[in-house]
Amino acid sequence: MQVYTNKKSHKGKYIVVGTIILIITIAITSEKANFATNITSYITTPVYRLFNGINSLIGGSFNYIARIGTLETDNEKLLKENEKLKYDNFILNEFKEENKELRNLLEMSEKDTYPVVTGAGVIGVDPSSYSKIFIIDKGKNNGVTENMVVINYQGLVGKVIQVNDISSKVMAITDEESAVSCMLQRSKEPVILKGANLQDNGDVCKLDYITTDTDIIEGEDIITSNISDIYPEGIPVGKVIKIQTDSSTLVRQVYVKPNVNYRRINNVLLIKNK
Amino acid sequence: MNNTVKTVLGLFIFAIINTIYIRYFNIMGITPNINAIVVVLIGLNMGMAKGAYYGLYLGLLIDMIVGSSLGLNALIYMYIGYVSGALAKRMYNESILISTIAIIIADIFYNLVIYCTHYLPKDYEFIKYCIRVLLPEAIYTLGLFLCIYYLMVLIRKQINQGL
Repeated sequence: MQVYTNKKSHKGKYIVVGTIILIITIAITSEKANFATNITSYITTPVYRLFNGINSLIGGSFNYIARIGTLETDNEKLLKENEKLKYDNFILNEFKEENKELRNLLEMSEKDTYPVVTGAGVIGVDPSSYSKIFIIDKGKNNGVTENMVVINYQGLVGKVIQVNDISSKVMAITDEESAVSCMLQRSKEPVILKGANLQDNGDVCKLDYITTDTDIIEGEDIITSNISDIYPEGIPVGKVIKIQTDSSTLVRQVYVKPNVNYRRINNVLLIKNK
Repeated sequence: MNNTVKTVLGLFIFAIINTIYIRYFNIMGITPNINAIVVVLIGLNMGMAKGAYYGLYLGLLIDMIVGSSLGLNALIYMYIGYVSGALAKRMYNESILISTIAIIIADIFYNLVIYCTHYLPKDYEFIKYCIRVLLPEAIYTLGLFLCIYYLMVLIRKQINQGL
C-alpha cells in the first residue's frame, strides 16, 4: 500500500513538472519557427510525400478506371475546348499588345506580372477546427521566405507564416488570425478582409468597417489592393455572399466566400511579396 | 518490436494520415477531433501514465507538424490521456458509455482551452463559440467515434462468423 501511494505521488509530480515545462515552451516558441519543428520536418516531409504519392496513384487509377467508358467523348470535348481556348488566347494577346501600346501613349509604366518563386504541393492540414494552417512541400532550400504570397489558379490562398528547410506552413485567408488589405473591384474602395472561419457557414472571410454608405453589392468581386505591404495588387480573392446591416450602429457585416476551394487544394504557387 | 515502439510508430503514422485526410471531413469549417478519440482510448485501455505520455507525444507531434506554437496540443492531450487513465482505474470496464462520455468531455475540454488561449483575448462571445464550434464539434466527434465503433463490432462479428 505504501509503495502504491509513493508511485501515485510520483506520477502527479511528473504531470506538474511536464505542465510547467510545456507552458514555458509555449511561451518561448509562440509564433516563431524553431529548431525542433525544423528537425521534425526532415522526418515528416518524406513520409508525407510517400503517402501523398500512394494517394494520388490509387486515386488516379480509380479515376482512370471510372472514366474509361467516357474517354472518347471526353477527348472530343477537350479538343473542341482547346480550339476555343486557342482562339481566346489569340484575342487576349491582341488586347495585351493594344494595352501595351495605349500605356506607352499615356506614358504609364507596365504592370508587372506576379514574380513566381516556385510551385509547391499541399501535403497536410491542421486537423483542428479553429486553425486553417496547412503544410507545403517547399521550404528555405527552395527559396521560400516568410510572408511570401501563396496563390493558385482560383486566386489568393494565403501567406507563408513559418519556413523550415524543406517544408513551410501557410496560413489560409480564412484563418481567424489572417487579415488582408483588399479592395472592391467596382469602386476600388479599400477594405480589410479578415478570416472568419468560425462564423456564418465556415471557410468564409468578412470585411471590416463597412458602413451603409459604402457602395457594395452581393456577388461583387474582392481583389488585393495596391496599399498592402505584402500582397501584390489585383489578385482575385473572393465574392461577397451576404450583407447584413445592423440598424443601430449603421455598420454592415459583409461575408466573403473565397474563390479557392480549400478542400480540394493540392498545388499552389508561391510569389514574391512586395 | 516491443509494444512501446509499435505504439510510437503507429501514432506517428496516424498523425500524418490525420493531417492528410482530415480536410475531407470538414463540414462548414468543423472537423472531428480524432486525436482526442485516440488519446482517450489509449488512456482508458493503457492507464494514466501511458495515457499521459502518449497524449504528450501525439500532441507534440501535432504541434511540430502544423501548430503555431510548440506545446499547447501536447499539454492538452497529456491531461486528456492522464484523466482518461484515472477514469479507467475507477469505472471503465470496456464500456461504450464510459468511452462516449470521456470523448465528449475530452473534446469539450480541448475546445475550452482553445477558447481561453485564442478567442477570449479577442473578446469572441462564449455563447457564439459554443453554438458555432464547441457543440457541433463534440457531436461530430462523437458521431464519428460511434460509427467507427459499430463498424469494428460488425467486422469482428463477420470474422467470428467466418471462423
